[in-house]
Amino acid sequence: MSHERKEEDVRRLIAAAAILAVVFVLGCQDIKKVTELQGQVDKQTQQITAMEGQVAQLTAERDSLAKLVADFQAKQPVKGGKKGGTKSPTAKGGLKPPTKK
Amino acid sequence: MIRKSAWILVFAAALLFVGTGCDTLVTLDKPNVTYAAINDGAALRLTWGAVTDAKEYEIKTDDSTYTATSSPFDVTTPTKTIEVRAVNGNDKSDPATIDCKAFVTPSVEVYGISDPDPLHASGFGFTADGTGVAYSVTNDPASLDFYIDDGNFTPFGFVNPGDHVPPFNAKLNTAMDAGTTNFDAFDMADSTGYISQLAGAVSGVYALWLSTSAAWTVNDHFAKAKVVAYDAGTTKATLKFAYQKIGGLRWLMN
Repeated sequence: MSHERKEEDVRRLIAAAAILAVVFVLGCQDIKKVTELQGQVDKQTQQITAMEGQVAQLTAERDSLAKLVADFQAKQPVKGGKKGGTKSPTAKGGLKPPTKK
Repeated sequence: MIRKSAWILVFAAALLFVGTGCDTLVTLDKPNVTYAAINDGAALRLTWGAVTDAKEYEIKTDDSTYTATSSPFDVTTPTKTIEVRAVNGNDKSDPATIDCKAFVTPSVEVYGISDPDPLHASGFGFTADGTGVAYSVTNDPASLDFYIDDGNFTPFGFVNPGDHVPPFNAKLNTAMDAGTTNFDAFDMADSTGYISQLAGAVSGVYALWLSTSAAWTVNDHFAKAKVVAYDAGTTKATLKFAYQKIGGLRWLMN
């Protein structure tokens, strides 16, 4: 009786070990997949950070240009002198037909 | 014998006096010369009142000497200077001098009219003494003789301010390509072939006819311009000018 019981315990032990091995293998595969996904997340996070830097730079350039335009518009009525003055409102300007002599 | 020798000596002295001394007694006044362009600006007519004791008049240009017995006299070849003297035998008066040189402005910087910088003038004109000056099309429209149009011409054009819509002033200025890049050698502007809007190019030399009327008058002025440099990026044109101060005269020697 005692011998049979021991054999039964060993069988159960082996079965448990097998189940654990299967679970372990399956678990390892999930961990590997998670690591890959985490890598992609990190990479995209870096891209977002870089793009945010570009947005900040472009925004600063836009603001600087807007300020320049505002400055020029503000200066228009008061500039004067031989070399001063602003251009015609129509920069390209319409032209009458040329006159020949 | 002695008496005869004395008479011969006196006679010789009298001959010497008549032969040399009499000429120096004539004093001639400087002619009072006025002048005006004629023949559509091709020639300069000199006019003066008769000078007492003058038998003729000497007209001297840069490379020729002419003689006239009376006024007027027409100089038909471009020259920088004209001198007029009253003449009687070997005696000549002081000269009446006429300066016909075109006044040179070595460098004027102007920018295309599309340039938004309020400190960058887009036009140019000439003062009474012939100096070329950059003018703002907005602040000095009356002084403009031409402006630089980089919108309707590539890379740019000289445009009469009266052609702009709306006009900057009422001038009827025109320009023509001199067909050379040698600024100094171009010594006389043509009488025809001008247009009020003309494309420019680097190194080009251009005749400028500054006028307020369709036909030539003595109130017109002629000048020449050379495009020393042009920067397409900044639209800055560097120009050199020579301006004839004598109204209507097309001579452009400098």
